Amino acid sequence: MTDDGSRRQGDGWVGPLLKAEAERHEPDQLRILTAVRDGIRQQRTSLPRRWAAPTAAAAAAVLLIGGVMVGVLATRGPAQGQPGAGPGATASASTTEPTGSEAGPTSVPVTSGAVGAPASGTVAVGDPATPPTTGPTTPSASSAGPGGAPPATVSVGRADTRVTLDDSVRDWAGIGLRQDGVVVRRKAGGRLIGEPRLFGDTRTTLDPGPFRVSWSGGAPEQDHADAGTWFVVRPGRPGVPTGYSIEAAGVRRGTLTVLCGAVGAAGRVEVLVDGRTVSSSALPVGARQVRVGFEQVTALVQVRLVAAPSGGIGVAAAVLS
Amino acid sequence: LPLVEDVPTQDRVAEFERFVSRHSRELSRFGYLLLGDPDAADDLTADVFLAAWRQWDTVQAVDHPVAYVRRVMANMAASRIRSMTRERRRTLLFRRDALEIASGPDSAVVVDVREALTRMPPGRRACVVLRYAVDLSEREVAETLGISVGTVKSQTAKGVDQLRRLLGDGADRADRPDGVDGWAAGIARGRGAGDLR
Repeated sequence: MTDDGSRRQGDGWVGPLLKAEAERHEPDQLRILTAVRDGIRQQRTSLPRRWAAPTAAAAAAVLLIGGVMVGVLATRGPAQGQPGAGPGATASASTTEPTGSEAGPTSVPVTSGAVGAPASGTVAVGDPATPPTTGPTTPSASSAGPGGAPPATVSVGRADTRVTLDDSVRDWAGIGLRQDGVVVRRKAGGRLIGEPRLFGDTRTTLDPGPFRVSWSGGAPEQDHADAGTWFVVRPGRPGVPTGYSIEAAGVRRGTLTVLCGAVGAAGRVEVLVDGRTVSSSALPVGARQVRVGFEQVTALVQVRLVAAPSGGIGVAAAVLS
Repeated sequence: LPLVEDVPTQDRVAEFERFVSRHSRELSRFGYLLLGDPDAADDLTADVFLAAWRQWDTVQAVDHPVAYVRRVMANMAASRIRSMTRERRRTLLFRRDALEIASGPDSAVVVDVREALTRMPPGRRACVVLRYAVDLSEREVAETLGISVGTVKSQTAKGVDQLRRLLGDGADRADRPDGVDGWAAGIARGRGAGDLR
């Protein structure tokens, strides 16, 4: 604590009091970041008012001078060796293709065990009796964008169907586990996983799923054992990319795991880190886990689950460790 | 004179967003103490970061970018508080009703602390919060708020006295040498005043 001697004797209660009050507020970091992103986007697409008049005048002058120059050049004929590049710079997006490496059974922040006996900590997820699938269903990608973008490792593999969500992880969200459709959230700690979002033309149902999810320390429901439903999204119209997006903000050296799977036909998983697509791979039918690992501070990670035109996407939970 | 607005690159945006992610929690909590409203604090935090983005080159160049955005937060909060105060006068009765609905064992205490802060003038409130919640030195508080060290001293002292008066005997009991079991310590551990009275 920085104290330059001005604090008076007897005011030691002020600091703890104010800090405790401050800690009662858990900021919605995703909301803040989204607002900032929207603001930046607006700034980039709209010219500030103070520049509008000078720019219009300057543009008119440029057009006038350009017209005069064209006229002059037309009388002289084409010049040689003129560069063809136009004015302005173009920012280029970077996309890294998946490397296709295999992801075996790995430690993720969900617990596995018998229903009614939830365990804490980090244990292996993945059915030992059924090794992870191979080939195109388990791609992984490690990407570092230009300018030192945070690297991320993405893998899609089979998931254990017995899942327990508790306070041993940084954040979690149970999706489609309650009959009223309400997303169950981790009650304690900061909210790093945003509200899951639908995109496209969606038809949604709450269907029996492959996962059996138990949780403790949740809200609005504190505890529950063996929830067997999941949230399924299907395209309402063909040709419209439809699915489910799960986002996490302010991730640092963590892993975002989405327990999901395709329904009827294989779908697709797209992972974006700080706005860049770092992975696009197949999402097979059945109980799967999409894992996105980070080594550095990452502003925003998005897992987009896209349904096949003749299929759907089921989602049961998202966990951040 | 630039004819075309500077188009930030994706890398620049990504770097800024990482800055936002690193400091949004701290800044929003600072804003919460200044404003007394969690949603308003989050909104203001986003506004502060956008203001920082407009001056991102400057922010990056300073020795302590966090101190820079903290100063922006203090200035914008003061402006927001003035408009909120006008609004609060109009909706005071309604707000009191809403606060009474708040549940939880320590909600009454929370209202006390929050209310006590919001009853201070914005400048005094900022001095107290920066000094005691953010743990800045008087010189740092003065630099953050753009005022003299003497003003920081006087405003902080008045603020603490005001808090003591508004919070009543709870603060006095926490001043005892054995204050580890006092009121403030109880709050720090998440206990309500009811546990101690």
